[in-house]
Amino acid sequence: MSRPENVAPAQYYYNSEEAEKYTSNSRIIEVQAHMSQRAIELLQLPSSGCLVLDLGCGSGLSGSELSDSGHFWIGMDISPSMLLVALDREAEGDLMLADIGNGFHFAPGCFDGCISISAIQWLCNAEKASHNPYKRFSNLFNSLYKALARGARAVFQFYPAHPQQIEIITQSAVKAGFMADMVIDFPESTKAKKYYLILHTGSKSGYMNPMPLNDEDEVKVSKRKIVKKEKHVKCKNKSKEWIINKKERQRKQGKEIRPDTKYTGRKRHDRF
Amino acid sequence: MRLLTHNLLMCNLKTCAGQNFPLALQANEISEENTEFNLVLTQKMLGKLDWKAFHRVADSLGHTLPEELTPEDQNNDELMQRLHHLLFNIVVLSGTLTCQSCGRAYPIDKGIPNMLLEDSEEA
Repeated sequence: MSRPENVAPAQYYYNSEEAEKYTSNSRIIEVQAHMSQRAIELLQLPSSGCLVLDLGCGSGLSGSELSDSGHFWIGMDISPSMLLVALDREAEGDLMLADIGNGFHFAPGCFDGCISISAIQWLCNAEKASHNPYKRFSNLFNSLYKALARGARAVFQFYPAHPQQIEIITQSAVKAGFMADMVIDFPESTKAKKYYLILHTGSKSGYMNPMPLNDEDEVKVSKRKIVKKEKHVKCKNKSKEWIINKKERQRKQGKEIRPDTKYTGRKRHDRF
Repeated sequence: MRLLTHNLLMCNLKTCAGQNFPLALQANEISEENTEFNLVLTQKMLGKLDWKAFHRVADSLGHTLPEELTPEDQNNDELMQRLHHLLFNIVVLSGTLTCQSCGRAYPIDKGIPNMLLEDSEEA
């Protein structure tokens, strides 16, 4: 699969022709809508009336999912053509032409959440000589940290080209003050695999004031436990165990596999 | 661009981050949309608004609002409906946003403010 990031910068790649696909191609729309729903689910917003920031909103597909649940959203994108598509689709949120790699400035703590679908992998590429991906990520996460309310979450769906990109992105987010979690949907499948980075600004609820110590209380110190690693035993090639393991692996990848029976991996009779 | 966004937005330049709120709005063309009144959303957005700035902008567009907002106003249905109309239904289609300290102007075209920076302005 070719990666659009390697073809051209986002503002040129998403020209009117490419943007058109986001209104006409039902497959693209379905995939985007599905990822948006999943990201909103991960965002865990209160039932309605939230203000959400959409980074790389494009044609406003993810936004329409937000509007349906009674929230208001402000979207940013670098591609003017995609924003025009959003206008055509009568997106209910507010749109803005901006480069998220440069950061943005909003009233502090005004957003209740942030969502971004397939956008931040674009920042990994340096499109101009003056661009430094590390700098641009830190611009983004620093301004996001300022704009989000305490206790708010941000969910980024993205396509990393290699594991180092995940590390760069997560590290910059943590440096900006976020707590970061990664959720990988369908991890065994190459096609359906989706990465979601969840950032928290710290929790409003769930914090308890620590209790002062009394005389009877002792500070407990537990002994360090040494956990022995289980040794990986390789099973013999083409053995029954090997076949069952392989079938299980393929099942996890979503392939259609015959169920295991008493005949699975059984030797044929000699006289055959 | 809706007035809600105007009330939250600040100049994009690093040098004047957050000191020059709000951006001066010059509206050349305004359209009015018709979205359904949502009381919860309006009440929640009131908590985020900078009332002084909002009052001034509404005034410049010919809508008079009370000087101060009291907690009882949250239950004033008529005022809430007006505020919802101002926040969500008034869309500035073309005009400019100007930073009051550095003078940088951001054009609004087809209702989309252009916040892109030149190479020399980038952080």
